[in-house]
This record gives sequence, C-alpha cells and structure tokens, in this order.
Amino acid sequence: MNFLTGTVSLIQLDNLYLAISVADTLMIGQSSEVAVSQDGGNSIGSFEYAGANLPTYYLNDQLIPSQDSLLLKQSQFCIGLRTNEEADYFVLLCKKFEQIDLAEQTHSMQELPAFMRNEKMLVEGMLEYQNLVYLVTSPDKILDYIASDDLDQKQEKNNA
Amino acid sequence: MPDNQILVESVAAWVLTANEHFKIALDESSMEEYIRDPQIYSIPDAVDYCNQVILWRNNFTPVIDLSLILGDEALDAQHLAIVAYQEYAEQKPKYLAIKLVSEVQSVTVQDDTACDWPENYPLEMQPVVESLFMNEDELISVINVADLCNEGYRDYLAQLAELRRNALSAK
Repeated sequence: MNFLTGTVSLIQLDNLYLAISVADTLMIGQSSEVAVSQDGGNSIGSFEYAGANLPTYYLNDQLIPSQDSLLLKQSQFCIGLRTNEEADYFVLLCKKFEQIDLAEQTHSMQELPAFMRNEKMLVEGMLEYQNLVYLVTSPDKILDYIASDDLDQKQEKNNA
Repeated sequence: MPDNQILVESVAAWVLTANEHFKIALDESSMEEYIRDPQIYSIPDAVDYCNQVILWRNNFTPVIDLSLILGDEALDAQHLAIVAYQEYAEQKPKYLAIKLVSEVQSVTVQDDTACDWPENYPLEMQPVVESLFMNEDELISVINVADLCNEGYRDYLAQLAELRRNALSAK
C-alpha cells in the first residue's frame, strides 16, 4: 500500500485526526489571523497568504463544514493545503499539528475496504501512530467533499 | 442400519444476536474471537451501517451494525464478534467485527431443523443468507460473511433504501 509515504502532516480537528502528505501542505498559521466572512459557500472565513485570500474551512468531527465564527476560538492553528489536480489553495482550521516521517516511526496503515466507501469519500485509509488513529486523506479529497452535492443532506442530518 | 432410521447430520455453529429480532449463525471455524467494549474509531463519511473500525491484532477491522441494515436502532459496541472470511479460496483471511446485543452462543445445528423462507423475511438480508434453521423456536439465518463485505451488497442496500424512499413519497 503506497497511498501515503514519506513525511506526513498529522492534523487534529476537534476530536478527529487527519493524515495528509506533507507535499500537499503549504503553511501553518494562527487561527486568530483568519478574517471571518460569510461568502455564501461553506467557508468560515479567509486567510491572507502571499497576497491571496484563501478560503478557510472548519470541519467538525463528522467532517461537516460549519460557518459558526465562534468555532474560530476553539481552533488554535490553521493549515494551508494545496490540491494537485487544480492547484487550488485553501486553509483548514485545526487544534494541533505535527509532522512525522513514516519511515522512521512505528505505525500501522491500511486502506479503507471498498465496501465501506461511499461514492464521494474523503477518507482513503487509516493510520495508527502512538495510539491515535488518523484518517488518511488528501487536499483534493477534502475540497471535493466540501463541494459535494451530498453535503447539504449531511448538514441537515447533522443538524437534526 | 435399519431401513426406517434417518441419518441426521449435525454441525457446530455460533449463534449471534445481531438485533432483538434477528439472529445469525456462523460455522464454528469462522468465529475468531468475542470481545467486549473495545476502543472504537469513527470513519465519518463511510456507509452508515459500517462507519467504525477497531484495531484488532494490529489490523484495522471494520465494525458492522446489522441492526442498522435492518432499519432498527444502532447498537453500541459493547459486544463484538470478530469473524474471518475469504472472498475466494487461497485468499489470506480478512476480518470483520459484528456488533451484537449479547454474548455469543454455541449451538449444534441439525439438518432436520432447516426451514424455508418466511413470507416477511427482511429483504435487506436476503442476498447474504445461505439458509435458515430453527433453534429453540427461533429463526436463525446462516449468513455468508464475504457477501456481507461485498460492494454489490452495499449497492443493493442503497437501491433498496431508494426504492423505499420513493414508495413512501408516492403515498
């Protein structure tokens, strides 16, 4: 299995943990630098980086985006991510952030079995490292997921 | 052997209570372990009935909730049966954790307890059930675990749910 190798970024949302290749990680900033804006999309605000305002997202533990600006205070950091397909940049709010080299660390990693997958699936696999389980994903998957038509249904279900 | 004596074959099996109204049976060799209150990890956007995993023997093992498939309340993960399956002969065994209502039960199944499909048998389970038998006045479904972990079965359940939604909205 080779969907994630080398150095990876480990990102803690609230009580959910993501693992993303470090090659797709752009920068790390403070959540206090995020400007709140309601642009009608799913973003909670924007983060200025290299002269551009990058859309910034807060994902809860069900991976549902929220635009509640109070959530900014619960997140300490924000991490810039870059998609490979469109070279889009965006920012994800997080509580903790760490980078590890998989070659140097004891870990277990496994792809998500096909029968567990939905059509638009954010999670590609699972990574266990120091007794925590991280969901393996990529910026392309996250952005696809945020823009997914299914998201409205998920948000309704989450609100219910 | 006298002409009037019937030879009844029997086999050892495990009966698992997957739901208050639904019990399944597995052959003795496919049951690996019964565990209680394991650490559960959520996979938030996986299929509803299988969106959790446990770390079992250093492997991520999917956790399936048959109660949800049957349209009932989700179970907690207090009782779990770890079962092995193969999609084809020679394949290295794969593992699945099945949520249960209670502890597993060992039974001896005899050929003459086999029975036919009842009229109201749940459509959700039909593709994964190989046979049925009676045990202490209860209907037990012998399931094929590999079929349960098949993408075709996932798609079948999605289609069935859509048909039911359409039928409801047409009323």
